[in-house]
Amino acid sequence: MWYDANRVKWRCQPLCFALILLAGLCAGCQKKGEITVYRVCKPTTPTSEPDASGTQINRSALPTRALPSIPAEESEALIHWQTPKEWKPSPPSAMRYANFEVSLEGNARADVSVVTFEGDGGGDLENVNRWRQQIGLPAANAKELRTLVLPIQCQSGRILMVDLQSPQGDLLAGWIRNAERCWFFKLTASGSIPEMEKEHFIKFLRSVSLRP
Amino acid sequence: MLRNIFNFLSSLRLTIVSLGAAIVLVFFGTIAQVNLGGHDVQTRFFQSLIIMWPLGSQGWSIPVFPGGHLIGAILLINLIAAHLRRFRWTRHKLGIQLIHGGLIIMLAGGLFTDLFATESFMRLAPGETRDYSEDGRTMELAVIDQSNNKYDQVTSIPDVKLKTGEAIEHESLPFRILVHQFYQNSRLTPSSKANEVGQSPANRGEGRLFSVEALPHATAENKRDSESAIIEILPLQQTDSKDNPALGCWLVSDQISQPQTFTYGGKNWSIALRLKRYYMPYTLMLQKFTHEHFPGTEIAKNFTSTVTLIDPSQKEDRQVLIYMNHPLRYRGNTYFQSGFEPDDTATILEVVHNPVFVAPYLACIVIAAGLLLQFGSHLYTFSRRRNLLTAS
Repeated sequence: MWYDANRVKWRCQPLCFALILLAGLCAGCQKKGEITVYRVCKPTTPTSEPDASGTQINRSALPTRALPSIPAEESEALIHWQTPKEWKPSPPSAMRYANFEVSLEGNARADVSVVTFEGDGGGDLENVNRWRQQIGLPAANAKELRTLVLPIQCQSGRILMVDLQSPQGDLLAGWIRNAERCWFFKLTASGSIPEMEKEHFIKFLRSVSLRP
Repeated sequence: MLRNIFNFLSSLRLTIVSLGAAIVLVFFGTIAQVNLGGHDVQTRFFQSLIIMWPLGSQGWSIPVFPGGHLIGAILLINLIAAHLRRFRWTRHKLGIQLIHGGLIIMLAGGLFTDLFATESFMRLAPGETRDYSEDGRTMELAVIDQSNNKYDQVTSIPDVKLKTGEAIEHESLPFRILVHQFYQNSRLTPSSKANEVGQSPANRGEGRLFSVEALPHATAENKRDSESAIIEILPLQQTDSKDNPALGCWLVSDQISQPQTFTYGGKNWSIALRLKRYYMPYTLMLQKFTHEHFPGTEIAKNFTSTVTLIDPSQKEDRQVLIYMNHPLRYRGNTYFQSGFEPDDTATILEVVHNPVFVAPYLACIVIAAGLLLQFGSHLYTFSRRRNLLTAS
């Protein structure tokens, strides 16, 4: 016999241990890549209040991440701005990095949104025409675009802005790019935008500072 | 025959070859991090039985070297077999037995940790409550049945199933999902004419507003892939298509973090490609986050999170202070203070679930006891001999 019968009792324990280990290994290998089904309680309204300071919004601090997501590893603030105290922050929607509500005269309301994309965010003409389409204006050509765009100096360079007006509502939009991403700022209203709000928006654009 | 196998498994030669293979694996794994990145190397080199090397773009791959799991398992079997073969139950050998036992616990613990432990992250803004954490990299296509008033039923499809051309069916889903295109790493750009130019075949949901561009796999340590997929939702059978027609093509992406909704079979559904979630049967709410710097510098001195732990099933409702090296351990999860968002607007807790977290501690204690016993007994024997010689 190659084994010593007197030591069998002692040998059984590590053998069982090895078998359990192999069983675990097999179980672990099967675990990955399987479809699972589970139930979760209905999500409740986030209890956190949006940043009320009005000085800076950091998307990762908001209850839900807006679109498009910024890699979690980016640890520095990507953007800073100053908002008028009349602008009330609201939770971001699927598309938006940040949202603000603006009360106008009467019961009218305007909406300010900030959206960001990696890369250049598409062509200027295409973007402007998309906004024009939203308020029922015909598409502009490249030559007309030059007359529509107004440059605004901000903390990180030049923001391009358009002021679009139509019977369906007014729209102010600005955009700026850096090496990594493009930022869009948009103020929309169902009617006309008062001059004072336009000034607020331009002041907001001037305060924008991007991470170098 | 059996004896030969046993002799082979318990041989010192196998130990040397395995250790040599481990050295080679570590060397080439380190070199491969330049092109593949740390996470890929860890998965392909160290958390695999065999390292498979892809051949071209046809999807074929060949085995090139034993992976970390195989080498580790062989070393473990070798150690156990050697233990069996040479085991002598004597007082003088007790120290050696303990050292070997400790090594076995450490190797087995490492293997089980690799297989069963999970690491995820929970981001909490002040006042925010969460009952789930998110994986750092792994993604899932969550298909959520929202028809029940009390709960959502989530069908979690791992991203490894999202292969181009793959049709996904599951008993919990009354439809099938056809993956037209999967992007391991991608970038979404807004496009009003996405459908016309054919860059985004999505014709439903938020995704139709975007074109999607494939990007190379992100290998940098602080970057991760941003996955996207073009999927089509189809009836299970053709006969079903009258009552429930096909729901068109959808672009799902982790860049669209809000679920996209639709109705099918009289039920409300939503879909989202998102970081894999780990739900807990309790909630954490961040009460306060503080971040102290060393005076005059930006260097972190200390950061602490005051959270409220609420677990109705255990009648827990208490405040807990989590700070560096003082984690919260609760129901198998350990919450470490991991980081914070810019301007201290949110805290980041790393959530580690490791069923065998005691293994390394236990192994160290057993090995330390074995070393003390072994060297202590040698010292005792040596000093006794010396005293005898001196006396004689």
